[in-house]
Amino acid sequence: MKKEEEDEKRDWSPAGLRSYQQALLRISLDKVQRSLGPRAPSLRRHVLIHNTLQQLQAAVRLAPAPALPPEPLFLGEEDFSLSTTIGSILRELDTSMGEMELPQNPVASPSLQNEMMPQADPVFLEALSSRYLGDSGLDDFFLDIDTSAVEKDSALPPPEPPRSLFCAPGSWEWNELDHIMEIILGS
Amino acid sequence: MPSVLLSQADIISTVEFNHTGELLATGDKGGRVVIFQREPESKNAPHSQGEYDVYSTFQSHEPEFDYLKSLEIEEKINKIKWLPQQNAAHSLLSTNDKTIKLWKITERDKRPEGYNLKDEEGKLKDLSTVTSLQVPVLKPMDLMVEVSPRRIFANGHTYHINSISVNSDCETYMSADDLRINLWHLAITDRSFNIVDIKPANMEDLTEVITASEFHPHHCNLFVYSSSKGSLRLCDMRAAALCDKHSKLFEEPEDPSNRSFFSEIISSVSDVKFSHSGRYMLTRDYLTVKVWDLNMEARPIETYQVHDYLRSKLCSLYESDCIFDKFECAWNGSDSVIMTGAYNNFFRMFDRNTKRDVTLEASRESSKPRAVLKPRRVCVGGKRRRDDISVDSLDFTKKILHTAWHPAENIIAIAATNNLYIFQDKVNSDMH
Repeated sequence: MKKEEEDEKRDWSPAGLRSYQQALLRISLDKVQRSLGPRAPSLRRHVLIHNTLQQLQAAVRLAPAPALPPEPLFLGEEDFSLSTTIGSILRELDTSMGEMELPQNPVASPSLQNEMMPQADPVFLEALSSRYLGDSGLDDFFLDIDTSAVEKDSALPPPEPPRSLFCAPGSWEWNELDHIMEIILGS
Repeated sequence: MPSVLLSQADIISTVEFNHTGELLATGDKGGRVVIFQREPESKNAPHSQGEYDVYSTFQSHEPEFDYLKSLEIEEKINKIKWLPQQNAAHSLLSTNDKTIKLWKITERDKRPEGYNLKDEEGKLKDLSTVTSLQVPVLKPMDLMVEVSPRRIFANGHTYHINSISVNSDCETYMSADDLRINLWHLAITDRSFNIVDIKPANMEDLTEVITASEFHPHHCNLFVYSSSKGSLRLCDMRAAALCDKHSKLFEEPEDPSNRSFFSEIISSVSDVKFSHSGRYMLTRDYLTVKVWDLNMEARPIETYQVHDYLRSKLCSLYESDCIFDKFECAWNGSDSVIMTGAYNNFFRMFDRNTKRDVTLEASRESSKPRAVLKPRRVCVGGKRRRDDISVDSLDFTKKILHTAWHPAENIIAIAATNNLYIFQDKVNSDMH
């Protein structure tokens, strides 16, 4: 980042920069999730957040990575495609004026929606699940996450209590997610 | 500056003077439209120098539910545009996210009296009591304002309508959503003509949306639309049926020293307005207002900083979503002064000739009727004068998104959340 952030007394060492970018990524993803609600999301806002995310991903890829195991979760673009999420939201916005078939929304059961998981797009969940249920093993999965952005970053304004995108395996939420995934993949 | 302050129950979402400035319409989040009328200046009561009073209130839009997509359609009025007055009635277009409506506003101040077959209450008379015939006459009555929906332009938009604009031909108008612009004939509701479509074949390739659009005030074939990437496209409807190729593209190259992750978001144009002369365009993005000359596409001819002190706060403004706020902008009648809103109920005016600017506040505390508005100042550290506000104590929930300027006089309407302020000024003495 440039001089515009100097008032916030940010640490611009490579680790500080990385943690800042991770925080922005987290904020951005949180925003995307939160915009899925009873009202049609603002397309402009989605597109702007999406474009910002792409820039963040590009920047983090270019920045020298400190000693870390394989790519952090958010940067595995092949698995985790925010484009897909935006795309699915956009497809749902199309009316039946002959433009598009509407996809079935499997996560429609009210009881599921009231659970801890935020009301997330099924394609989004599917993208996440491909990491969850992948070969890398759950322990490796958690090694990838840079928690310094969440725990120690005091330069940023206090974030909202994070709507957790990931659940501890074996937890109640984990089992719910598993259950949801079965429904999605089975439909 | 005498001011009129009126409260409304709901958050005001649009403000618009009609072409003479006699009427001022506001739309709110609850789908209501309130029209104010300027009282004629009276020698008997010199203090009520043409103040605005409520003229009519009506429910324009209702909330809807799209069962097919399980989505609510908000009743919030996004825009109101007046039609030029062609007879005794007034007409306006109001729109929410999906549906545009044409409303006709008429006055009734006389009623017929002296019917032969009916008595004064409207009951049929006993014919045996009728011994002679009379001609009914029109007698004055208390003014009644009647509003009726004359046209409903529905099902034209898949995405959210952000703008409507009446053509100078007074027969057509356009409506723009995030990806498309449609041309309508005012008398025809069952079809519209698509003139701009920026929807990509693959929605996942979408990187840019339409944010605002407007017809040229004099040339009925020209219109402009702005984008979320900060560009303006001037289109000529004579050139092609589908105006996907712009006639002119107005875009300012990015300043590399100011580049950040938020550069694109803050460059997104939230409003575009032609000058009354038709020679210039005014745009608003997150931090600036810019004046563009239609003859120069490479860069704006003037740039004014609205609140540059926010440049170092973009990250927290991003997190709070404030960075997505869409501020409007306005020209005065002679195109010499431009105005836009900001946070903390501040609004800013820039005099293009003297290059002076002023920050004013719309609040109950600072606006007693007939009080003079005091210029405000935001200090960014360093020397602080007595009445300065520091950047950190700005209230970002108090945003002035919607402002309007009377077409001829120095009268401005400012919407501050759910309050409407109308300021009138005889002399431009407040610029510093």
